[in-house]
Amino acid sequence: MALFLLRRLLAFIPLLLGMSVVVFLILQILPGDPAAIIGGQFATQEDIAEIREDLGLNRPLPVQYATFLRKLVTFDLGTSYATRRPVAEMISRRYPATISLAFAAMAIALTLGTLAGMIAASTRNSAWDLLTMLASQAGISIPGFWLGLLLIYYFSVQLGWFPTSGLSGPRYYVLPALALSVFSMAFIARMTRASLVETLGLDYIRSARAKGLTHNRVVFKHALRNAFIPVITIAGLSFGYLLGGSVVIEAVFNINGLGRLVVDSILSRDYPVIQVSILVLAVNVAAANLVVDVCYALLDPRLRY
Amino acid sequence: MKRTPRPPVLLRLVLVMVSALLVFVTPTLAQDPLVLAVRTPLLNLDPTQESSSTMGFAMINVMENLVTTSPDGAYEPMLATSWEVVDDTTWRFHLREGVTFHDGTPFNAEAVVFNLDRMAAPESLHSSNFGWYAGASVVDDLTVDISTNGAYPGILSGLNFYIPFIVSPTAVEVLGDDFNSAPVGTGPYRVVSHEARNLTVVEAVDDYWGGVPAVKRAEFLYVPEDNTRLASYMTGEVDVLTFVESSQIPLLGMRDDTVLVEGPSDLADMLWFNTQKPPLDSATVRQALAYGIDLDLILETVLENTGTRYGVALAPGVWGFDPETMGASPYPYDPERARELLAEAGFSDGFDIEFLIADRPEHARIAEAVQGQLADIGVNVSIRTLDWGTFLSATAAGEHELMVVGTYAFGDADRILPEFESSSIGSRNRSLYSNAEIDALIAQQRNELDADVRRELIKEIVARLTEEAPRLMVRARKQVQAVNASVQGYIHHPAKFDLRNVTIGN
Amino acid sequence: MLPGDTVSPERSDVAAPARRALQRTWFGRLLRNRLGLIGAIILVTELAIAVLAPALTPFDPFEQDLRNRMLPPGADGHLLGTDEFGRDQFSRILLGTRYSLLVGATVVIISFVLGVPAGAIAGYYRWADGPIMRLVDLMLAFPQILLALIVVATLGTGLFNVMIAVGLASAPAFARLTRGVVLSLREADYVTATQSLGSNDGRVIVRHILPNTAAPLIVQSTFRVATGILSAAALSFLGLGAEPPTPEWGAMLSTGRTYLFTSPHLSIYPGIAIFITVLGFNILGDGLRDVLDPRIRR
Repeated sequence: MALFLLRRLLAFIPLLLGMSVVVFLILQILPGDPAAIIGGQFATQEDIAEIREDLGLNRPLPVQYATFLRKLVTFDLGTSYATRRPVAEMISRRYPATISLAFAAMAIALTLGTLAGMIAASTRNSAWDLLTMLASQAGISIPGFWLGLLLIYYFSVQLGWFPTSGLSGPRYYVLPALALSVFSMAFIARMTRASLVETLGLDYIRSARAKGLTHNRVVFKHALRNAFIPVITIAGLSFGYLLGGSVVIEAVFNINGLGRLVVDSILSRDYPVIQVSILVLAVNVAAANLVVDVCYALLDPRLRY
Repeated sequence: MKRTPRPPVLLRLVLVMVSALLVFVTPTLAQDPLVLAVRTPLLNLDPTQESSSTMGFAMINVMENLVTTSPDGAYEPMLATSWEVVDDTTWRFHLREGVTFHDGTPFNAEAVVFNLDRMAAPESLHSSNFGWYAGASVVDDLTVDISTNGAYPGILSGLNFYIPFIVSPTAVEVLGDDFNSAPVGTGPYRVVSHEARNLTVVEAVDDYWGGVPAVKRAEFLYVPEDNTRLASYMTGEVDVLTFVESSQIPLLGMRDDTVLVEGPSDLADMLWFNTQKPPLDSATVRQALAYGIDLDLILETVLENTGTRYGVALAPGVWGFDPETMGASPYPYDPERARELLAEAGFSDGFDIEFLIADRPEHARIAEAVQGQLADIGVNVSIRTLDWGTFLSATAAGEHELMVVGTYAFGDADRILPEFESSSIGSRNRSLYSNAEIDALIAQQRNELDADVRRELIKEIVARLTEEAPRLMVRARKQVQAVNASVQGYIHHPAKFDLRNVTIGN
Repeated sequence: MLPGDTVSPERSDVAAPARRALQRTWFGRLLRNRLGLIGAIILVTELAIAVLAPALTPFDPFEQDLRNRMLPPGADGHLLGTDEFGRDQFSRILLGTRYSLLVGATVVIISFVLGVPAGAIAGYYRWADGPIMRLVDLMLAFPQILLALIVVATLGTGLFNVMIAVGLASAPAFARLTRGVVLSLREADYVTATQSLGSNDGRVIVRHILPNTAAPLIVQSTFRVATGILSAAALSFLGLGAEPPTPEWGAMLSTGRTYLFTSPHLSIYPGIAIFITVLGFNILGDGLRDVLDPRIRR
């Protein structure tokens, strides 16, 4: 097990390097001039040339990458062009919002999703089943930002139940986490149902049932453990989706997280911030996949290789 | 097979799990600050490092200028109590007594010199705006002489800079890089915390020279999404909307709990023709487009009457504006005349043209309406959207054919006229308009001390520009803010979110 | 993450003996799969609307009437009301069908053209497997919307660039799927037999291996159309989508949302149109998977 973990962790390093190259290279081809943005609408050409010089934008690319990488390794993440604050500080202040929202959404998706899937599977071919599956089809088909707007419209403005903006308390999480989780929830429900249906058809479950165990006991004690392996995969994959979804949901609910930081920094060509914030999101996705692999190995020893 | 679903038990389980998850999050604050939502973010708070007017509007509560303006544009004392002209290039300012910066540093003539030098220094973002500044000298502790490069009648406009900039010299030195998020001024509030692009919190100081404000704590919250900003106002999370998207004005106007605070803004939106790209290099073609676009109707409908239209150059809030010659829009909607002029210029079959816009809802609406109207006279407009930053650099470089962006509607005419000078091509001259005679006239008025002569010069410049039509005025913008009815004393000012006289409660 | 990324083990229905005859063809099986059929009907209808749109629209979708803006649904013969420029919304939504289907189709074609050859090469040639799949893994580590966002920021906004962006971002999934199938067939008897008869590699891949990837790829494509439309709408929401006056639903929703509280019909109907289309592709994809994918049929 330790060896397996070590191998997985080592495989992580080239992935990180690859990500840093991608992030660095992609940004080199972005059009638009950060110096012009900092200068603002009324800046002169001299002002802009001066700003460009200050930012080191005139140096050759490999030099800029080497600098980028060296600073990355030493956690010296540079200063934002736009706010003049350390990037590390900006990221660390926004990271908790994005991550806690992703976890809240994940928790909602996992609990409601597996629950719906379990109900559907154990009542196969009933109206419940059909309803759950229809709802899950709807869940993966609805645009998340549109759902977010509708939630704000009905639950915040019309009913006044939940606040619309920010994440400053438990109530603030309800709507954005719900809007963010719908896709994953629906997907987890489908996966749970399919996986449970398959497991319930397997020989050892049949024999457990033949031994006279009750339906619920069979479902909960025997089937769930095996059925959850694919569900965990989906949950892991969902995590990446949830972090990506934060880009849009944070805009709708005015949440000061990494997702909005990425969009803002792309729009203002704030290179250091784009680089690091995208990298942080990508590393988190990769880390989630790693955790999934480990869970896998724990649940099913055959998968350790 | 048994088909008993067990939702009740499981549902309870789910609720427990969800609520357990939500409990770990921190509870809400107990105090109740005044929350103002802003549409553009506060980034840098150091006046030498920021060009966003929103920062200036908000930070007028923290930092101040020597002179300021009343809501209707008249110059008023602020940190200077009076001033007089010494000679053509020297002005003397008498400073307010007994004022200290929030860090205890006394406000005096030395501080004024320090800050003027600082704004005009090459490291400052605004050095070009302080091109008029030749230097300042301490006369005594509370008197300062400011010299200008040549005669400069626009000095009060220059000193009432849109970003207040008199800050504590000690704090600049002591705080270093941190000064940018915790500037120290003389205003009624000091910055408690500042997170760029999110939230800036200010707190009342207890020894403000103008009297202690009633609102003890205020927050400037950045909410870029128009809908969310409106929604957070409607749910009471936000007390003041400092910018109301024009489409939302009718809705807010119907609310009993809302006061719309309105008045002329400091910006006028212009529709710019790139005068160097054929066929727009022909004044006849530009006039044809001017007759073919019904900007009055656009203002009345998709822009919800959020402004008034004047000539091509100056808005009424600008010194040098002449109501007789500049008061009306010179090109009334007349598609027939437009077609005639097009035919005259040799384009009876019309032509294709590109409209470059930034990703702002109002820009998109203006462009789309113009597109529909020009189609009627045979001109085929395609629209291309850029983000704000790329838009600014692309239009400064002249990549556009048509574009919309705002310019000053406030202050001295010399703030606006550089937009027609050939030396500003590549930056503020977004028509890329080049005309030696106009250049000479603009230079001439700049250093003309006789106000009447100067007014005449400006009239002549504007008359020629009207004929040339390098741009059209979409509107001198009306600023509309929505204020919760429980907030009193929040008045309209084109360049301030002024909290000095605000009170909360019934 | 996508419905097509994993293979669900089993579908619910057990075939009734009476319907066995129908099951012999995949079309018959699709007919039996009622939800899938509904999806197919939705999409065939939309395709018909897209083709016939100019004949079906009651008003000119581009004709502005600024004095009759934002009329409520039903007013003056405007079934779904008018938009912020006084244009007939029903006509615009009808015409918009074209753009949404175009976005979906183009996204899939781009990701197909890029992903399938890359995946086939990686699966067939051992030497290519490492580099190509590392690149694919690398791309998959970035959330799709972020990749698309960066591509749009690079190329500029506009419907065409959005399609390229989402297409590029979906390509790795096709590569991975194709590689998996090709890898499993590389050592199959009939393939090694063809190889020993002297066929060149290109011929083996195109004639003998790729046809076997058709079923999973068709299923994957159907789901990808659905997510492609959603991603394009999200990019429109962030201000990077189709340029006016294109009646693309994502863009309509995005500009209409400014009026959400006063004229909700401007954003609700385009949203419903997107929802129905995406739903159609998703349930058709589910149906096709049941029908086409031998690994899940019992």
